[in-house]
Amino acid sequence: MSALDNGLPAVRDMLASRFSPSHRLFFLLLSFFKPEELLFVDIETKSLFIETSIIEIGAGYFEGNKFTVKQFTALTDSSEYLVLEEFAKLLPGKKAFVTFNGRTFDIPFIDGRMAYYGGPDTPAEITSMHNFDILHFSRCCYKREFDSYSLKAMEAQVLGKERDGDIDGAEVHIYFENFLATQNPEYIEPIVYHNREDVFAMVQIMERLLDRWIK
Amino acid sequence: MDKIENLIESIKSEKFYSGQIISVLKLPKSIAHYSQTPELSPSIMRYLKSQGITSLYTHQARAVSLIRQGKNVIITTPTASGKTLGFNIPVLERIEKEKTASALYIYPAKALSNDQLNILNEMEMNSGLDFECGIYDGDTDSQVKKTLREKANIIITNPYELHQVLPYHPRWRRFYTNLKYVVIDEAHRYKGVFGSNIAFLLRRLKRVLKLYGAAPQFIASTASIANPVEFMEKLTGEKFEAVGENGAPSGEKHLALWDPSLFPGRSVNTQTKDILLHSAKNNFQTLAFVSSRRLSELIRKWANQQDSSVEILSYRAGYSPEMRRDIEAKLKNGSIKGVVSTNALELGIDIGKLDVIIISGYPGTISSFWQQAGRAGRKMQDSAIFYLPQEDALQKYILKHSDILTSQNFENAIISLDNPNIIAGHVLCAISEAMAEGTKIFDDIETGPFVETLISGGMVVKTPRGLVYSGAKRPQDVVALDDTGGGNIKIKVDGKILEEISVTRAYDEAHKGAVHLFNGDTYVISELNLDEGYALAAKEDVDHYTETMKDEDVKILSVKKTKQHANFTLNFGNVCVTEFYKGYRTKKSGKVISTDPLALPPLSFNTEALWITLDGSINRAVKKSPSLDFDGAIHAAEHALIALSPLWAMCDRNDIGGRSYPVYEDGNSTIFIYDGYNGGIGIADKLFDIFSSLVSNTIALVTGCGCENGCPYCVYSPKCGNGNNPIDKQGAVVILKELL
Repeated sequence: MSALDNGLPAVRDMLASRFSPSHRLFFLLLSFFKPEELLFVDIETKSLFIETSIIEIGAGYFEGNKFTVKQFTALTDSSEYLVLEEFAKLLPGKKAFVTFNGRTFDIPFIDGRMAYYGGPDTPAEITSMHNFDILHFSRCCYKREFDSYSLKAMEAQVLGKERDGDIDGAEVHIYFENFLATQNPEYIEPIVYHNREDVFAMVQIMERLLDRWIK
Repeated sequence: MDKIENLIESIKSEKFYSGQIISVLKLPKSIAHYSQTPELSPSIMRYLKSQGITSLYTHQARAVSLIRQGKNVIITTPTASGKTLGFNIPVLERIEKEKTASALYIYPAKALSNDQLNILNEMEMNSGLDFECGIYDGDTDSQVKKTLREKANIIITNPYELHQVLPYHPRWRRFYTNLKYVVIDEAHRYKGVFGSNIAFLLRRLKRVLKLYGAAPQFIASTASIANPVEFMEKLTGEKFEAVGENGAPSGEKHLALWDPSLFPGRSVNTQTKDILLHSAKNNFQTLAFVSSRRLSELIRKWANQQDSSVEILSYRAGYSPEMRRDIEAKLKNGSIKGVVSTNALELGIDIGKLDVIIISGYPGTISSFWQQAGRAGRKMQDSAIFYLPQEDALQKYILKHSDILTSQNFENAIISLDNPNIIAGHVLCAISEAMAEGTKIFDDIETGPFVETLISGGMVVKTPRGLVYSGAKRPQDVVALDDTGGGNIKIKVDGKILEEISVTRAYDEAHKGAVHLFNGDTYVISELNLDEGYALAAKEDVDHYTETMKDEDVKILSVKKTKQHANFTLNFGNVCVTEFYKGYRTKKSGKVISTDPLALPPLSFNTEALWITLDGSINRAVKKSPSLDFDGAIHAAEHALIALSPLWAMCDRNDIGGRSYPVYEDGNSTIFIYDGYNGGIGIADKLFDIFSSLVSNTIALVTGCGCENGCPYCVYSPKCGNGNNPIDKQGAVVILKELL
């Protein structure tokens, strides 16, 4: 396979000409990456629109067998930029994102907010970095098995796990507005918890996909 | 006698003719002026050859040359003179040399985008050039959009789409970084409120482009206007050069001035049908322009009912693209003899040239008149244009003073960069698109106070890095490109929001009982709830329309300019207008069928106005004659001045309001003419500058009208809240003469 000699981009282009991006073969491109090169990303925002700001970025990564999640919360409009800067510091050495609907939402959103501030300088355009979007693989791998493929539904269906006391993603902005109005940190904690659980869930669902598709 | 003259003569022996042709003006033919064709690449030459073009017209060559020099260029030659080629050549040349170069084409209407795409596709095919282009608008599939952003050299879009996608600029990174040209075709459409919004939209675009290091050249084309350079410089904030001398040839044109009132009892619309049918039956390809979609359907129906042997079609917005393409093709290949159209065909859609054009109802501006008339004259052949005015002062004035048409004294296209509501909305959009380092958001506009207001309102937040948008909603959804204020009233149909309009517009178009037009459909309003901010509407196909009746009160807020004359003072400045809505009329074909009261709280807005403070001597001059009534005279003078204002300021009579006071609060008799939009739109400002011309034409209008005591052709206003009472035509002449 000559494309393999040219590395990932050539293989990716070759696959893209024949298969949908949610195809198993795209998932198998994981073998091109070491675990340490993956960055698991999930964000919480004020709205679905890029004109509004990011509240929270959760980013998880492997160091050997250890998995760390770092979370950055923008409690004020002033701190969104700092959140983006901290996130950018995690990028060196990372070669692919793992996200849940992040090809459409999370990564372009972060990219958009970085561009909004005219920076910060990232090593590369993050939208062109490889992105393993677990949502699409889930739909393909468990085709016609479930009614819903949301992250929470997948967690329940595949991992058999129900989150205790978690808020819904759609409620994040309400909690944040309450926080802004009261400055009471009790409204921020559920957002941070929700975001962290989302990052963990991505790792675990990815492992299930690996089990089902590879092992 | 040639064929066109035969046609005009033959009409005179028809039953529907009773001397309505008051004169026929011959507009001489002009020959083609070619220029030494600038050196063009073999592929461009190949394309020109495929079109049978051996040399470029002078205006095309000049446009190519100026654009090559890096100038921003506005091309103002008439319809079908080959403006498009003038800018497509340099754009494609650049793309040929620089494969990554990109260009953004902005069109005001969808049909025109399609036309341009077809032209570019044909250029690609016949030149052998290889480039990507496509239409990017609300109907474009998201995958196609993505491909265009990533690969296209030329993206064709419209202002509404641009307004929505600007915040997503990172996705356009490749396209914007390489952007060399912004093409604004049919730029004259961007006048008034819409144009003032577009001026800020373009500044937002420039601001976003700066992030990507792009500073493209601007290229525009427009119908003839008085002030192309001034207009484009205001619209874009860039320096412009105009290309105006037309090198394209045209045959002799016969302009027949037709006075429908000379056949009493036969409506203008029936007479339009008469000429259309007669001309089409005699094998002259004929296009009649009418003022509404309904009329285009009605006149076609009447023609078909009267004589089914000749096919007459109608053309208007609201038809499916396929239907429109079909009619356009039939017009172009000559297979259809007669079409009745709204101004939808006035724009640069390629339908070739026709033998006879009927302009039924003045299209509002001299510029539009010649856009429509420009459809006449196939390949140097003679053609005819019939002009039939509707019952209106300005329209009749033009019939009687046809030198206004033939001298081509075009109007000024007016936009305002000073409307506070428009500025505030776009400043907010801009800050939501990219962080602002300071309060100066646009290079050439003072935005500081607006930013400060947004900061104190919490919409914008000062951060150590800069000014950041802090809202949780998209400001782009609240800023409407065809309004001066944020939409505060949601028009709902079956629980769904049809559109959001300002309170001012809602008073006129969304009160209980109003017929509201949206996208070619009629909706009847059943409730307007100002407290909750909604109006309920139901889609109903009705053939009547509604007009509100109101009284106005004007308060002077500040004086910006003053000119002292012998017996009057002319002022320009800010005023507060309070409107008292008394009721509304329901009309059908111009006739009032009912009048109903309205219960709405008075509405105030600040705007710009021109006002004339009359010296006591004018009052005395009127009162010298016992038969004259001063109150009626000042009222009539106000109406007549407003009626002719659109001759200078490219606007509609409905864009202007007026109020006359026999005794104003300062004790002087005063006439106010104000911009009918919150914050003003630049019309009164322009009228201040050309006031003496306005007065002399108004005198000609009033004295030249054959009526004795005033009529809709001179001093009656269709908008008057007092039913044109009191009105004194002869007294108005005395006042107007004093204003000279």
